[in-house]
Amino acid sequence: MFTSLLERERLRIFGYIRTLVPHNSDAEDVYQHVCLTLWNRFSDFDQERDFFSWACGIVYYTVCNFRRSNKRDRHFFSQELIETMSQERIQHLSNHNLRLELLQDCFRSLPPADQELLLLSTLEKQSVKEFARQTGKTVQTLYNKLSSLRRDLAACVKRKLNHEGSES
Amino acid sequence: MTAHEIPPQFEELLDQCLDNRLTEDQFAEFEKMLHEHPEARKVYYDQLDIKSGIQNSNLERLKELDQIVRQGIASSPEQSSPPASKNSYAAVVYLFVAAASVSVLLLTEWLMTGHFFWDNSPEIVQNEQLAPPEKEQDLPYVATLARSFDCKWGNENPPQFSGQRLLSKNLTLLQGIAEFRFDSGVRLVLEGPTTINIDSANCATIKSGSFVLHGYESSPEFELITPQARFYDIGTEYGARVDEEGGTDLHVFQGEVRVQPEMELMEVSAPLIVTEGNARHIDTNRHEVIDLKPDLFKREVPGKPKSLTAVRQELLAYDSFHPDKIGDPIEFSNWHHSGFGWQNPWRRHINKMTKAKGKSLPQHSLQPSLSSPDQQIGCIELERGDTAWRTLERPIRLDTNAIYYISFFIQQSSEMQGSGYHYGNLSLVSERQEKQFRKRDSILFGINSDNFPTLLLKNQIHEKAPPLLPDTTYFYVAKIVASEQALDQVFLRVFYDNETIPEQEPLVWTCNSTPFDDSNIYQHVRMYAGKKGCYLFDELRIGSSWESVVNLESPTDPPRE
Repeated sequence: MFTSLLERERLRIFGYIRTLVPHNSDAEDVYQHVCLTLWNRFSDFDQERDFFSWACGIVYYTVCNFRRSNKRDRHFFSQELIETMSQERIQHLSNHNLRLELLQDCFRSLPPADQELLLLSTLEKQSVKEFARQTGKTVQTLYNKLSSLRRDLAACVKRKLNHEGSES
Repeated sequence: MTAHEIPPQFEELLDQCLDNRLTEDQFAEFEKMLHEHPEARKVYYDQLDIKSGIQNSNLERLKELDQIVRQGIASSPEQSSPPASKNSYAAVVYLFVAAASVSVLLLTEWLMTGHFFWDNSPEIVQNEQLAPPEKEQDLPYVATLARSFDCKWGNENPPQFSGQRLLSKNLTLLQGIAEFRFDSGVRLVLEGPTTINIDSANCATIKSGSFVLHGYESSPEFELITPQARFYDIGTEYGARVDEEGGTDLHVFQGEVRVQPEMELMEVSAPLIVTEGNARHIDTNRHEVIDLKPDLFKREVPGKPKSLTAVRQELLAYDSFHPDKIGDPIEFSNWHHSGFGWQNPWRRHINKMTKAKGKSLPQHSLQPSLSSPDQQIGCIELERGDTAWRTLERPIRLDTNAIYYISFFIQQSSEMQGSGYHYGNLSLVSERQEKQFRKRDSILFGINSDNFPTLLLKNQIHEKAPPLLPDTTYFYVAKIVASEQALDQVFLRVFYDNETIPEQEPLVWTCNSTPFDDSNIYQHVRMYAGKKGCYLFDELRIGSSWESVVNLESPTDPPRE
C-alpha cells in the first residue's frame, strides 16, 4: 500500500520539495528524510485522505527543520517565502500529471539537437561544457539557448492547456 | 514597474538557480524577486516542472533514493533508522551528538529529581492515558458565525472567518460586533467585551457583556442563561447587558420575554413576562423597572451593502456558456472557452483535451429576464451521457478554513422522460481517487431519475421531495463550509421559478449534509446528463460569498453603480 502510494506521488512530492529547497542535492536529502518519516508514520495516515496532501504536511515540517539545521552554510529561502510557496505550490501541482503529459508532447516536437541539449542540461554541469566544446560554442551561448528552450516549452504547455480543446 | 511585472533579470537568475549556479548575492536577489512577485513564483514553479519533466533520469534517481531508504528501514530492527543518505559522516556525527545530548539530559534529571523518568509511578502514566484530548470532530455543529465586524477574540482557537460553523464552546469577544446564527434560527448579536458559551442550537450562556437576541418564529423557545436569570424568547427581539457581578438589564424591543430568576428574589418568585417596550434590572438584591434604551445596543452588525465591484472580486469562476462567435449551424458554436477563472476549456475527459460534447444554444437563456436586464444570452444542452469537465484556476479546498458558494441554472427536458438514467448534475471533483474502483471524490448537486433535487457526497445521499418539474428552470445555490481542524458541511438550496432570491443567504436550505471530514482539494467541475437524460445548464458561478453567486448581472460588464 505504502509503496504504491509513494510510487504514484513520488514526482509530485519531489517537485514540492524542490520548490522549497533551492539546491538539488539538498532536495534529495530532504526527500530521503521525508520518505523515512512517511514510512514511520504511515500507521497515522487516514486512508480516506489524500496521500499527497498528507505527505506535503510532512514535507513542510521536514524542510523547515532541515533549513534550521543547515541554513548557515547553504542557500535557503526565508521561512516566510517557504510558507507562501508551500501553499501555492500544492495548488500548482494539482494538475501536474496533465501538464507532464503535455510537456512530453511539446518536448517531442522540438528538433533533435534541442532535445539533446535539454537532456544534457539535466545531467552534470560538465555535460554542457563538453557539449560546448564539441559544438564549438561558448558555454554561455548554450545556457542562453537552454533558457530560451525552457521558456518555449513552458509557453507550449500553457498554450496546450488553454487551447488544445479547440485544436483537437 | 507594477507589482505584476517581473524584473527582466529574473529570467537569468532563474536559469542560474535551475542549474545550481547562483552566487550568494544573486541568491538574495532571486529570493527577493520571488518574495515580491507572485508571477515570478509561477514562472519558477513552471520551470521546475519543465526541468524535472524532461529529465528522463529523474524518476529513476528518485527510485534509487527510495531504495536507499528502504534498505535502511529493512536493516533496522526498530524500522526507525535515519535515511542512508550520501552524507553518512554527517549522520554518524548527528547520532553521536544526539546520544551525548540524551546522556546530559538524563544526568541533569537524575541530579535534580533523584530519579529517571522511567521511575515515575505507573498511576501518572495511567492518568495521562485516561485523559485523551477532546477531539473537535466528535462534537456537533450548532451555530454559524454569520457576520463579524472589527472583532478580536480572546480564545486560543477563535472563529477564523464569517460563515464558519461553530461547535458548542466557550468564546470571548474582546472587541467588535459578531452575529451568531444558531441552527434553530435564532440570531444573537454580541458586542465585545462579551463572554458566551454556546451550549446548543437552543441555548447559550452569557457570563458578562452585551447582546441582542433576534428570535425566530419557527424555532423552539431559545434559552439564554445569565448569572442571575434565564430568558426565554416569545417571538422576540431583546437586548441585555450583563455586568461582572451578574446583574442584568433587560430591554425588550419586540414581542415578549419570559424571565426565570436563578434565585428567589425579594420581589419575584415566579416566572415574569416582560413585554415589548419595557425594560427591567435584575440582580440578587433588586428587581425594578428601568427606562427602555434601545440605543445602548448594537442591534445588527454594522456594514453597508457591498459594492458591486467588491462582490465581483469574490467571484472565483464564472461561465455564461455564451460563445464568442455564433457558428453555423448555431448549435456547433464554440461554447467551451467562455467565462473566467478556468485553467482550460470544457473537455470530454478529465485528463484529455478532447472538446466536450454538448449543444450550444447561443440565443437561449435559462436566466429569468426579470432578474437581470443585462442577461447573458447562451446556454448549453447535454444529453445521453454527455460529460463536460473543466478545471478551476482556484480550486475549492476543504483542507483549509474557507467558505465557497456555487450557483447555476438547470432545466430538465421533458423529451427524454422515461424510466431511469435521466438524471443530470453538476459536481466538484477532486484529483484523489478511491483505491478499489479508482473513483474520484466528488460533491454533486443535481436532479435524480425520480426528479428529486439531490446532494451527494462521501457516502451521503440527500434527496428532497417534491420532485422538480421538467421544462422548468431551477436555480441551484450551494454553500460549502470548509474547516481545517473541524468537520466540513455542504448546503444546497433550490430556488423555484419566480422565487425571490434573498440578498443574504437563507436560513432554510433544501438539503443539508451531515458534517463530514474531508481534506480534499476539488479542482475539477463536471456537468453530466444521464444516458437517457437531456439537460440545459446556464450561468455557472463559483464564489466566496452569497452575493457573488446570486448577483445575476454579467460580471464582465461594467458595474452599474
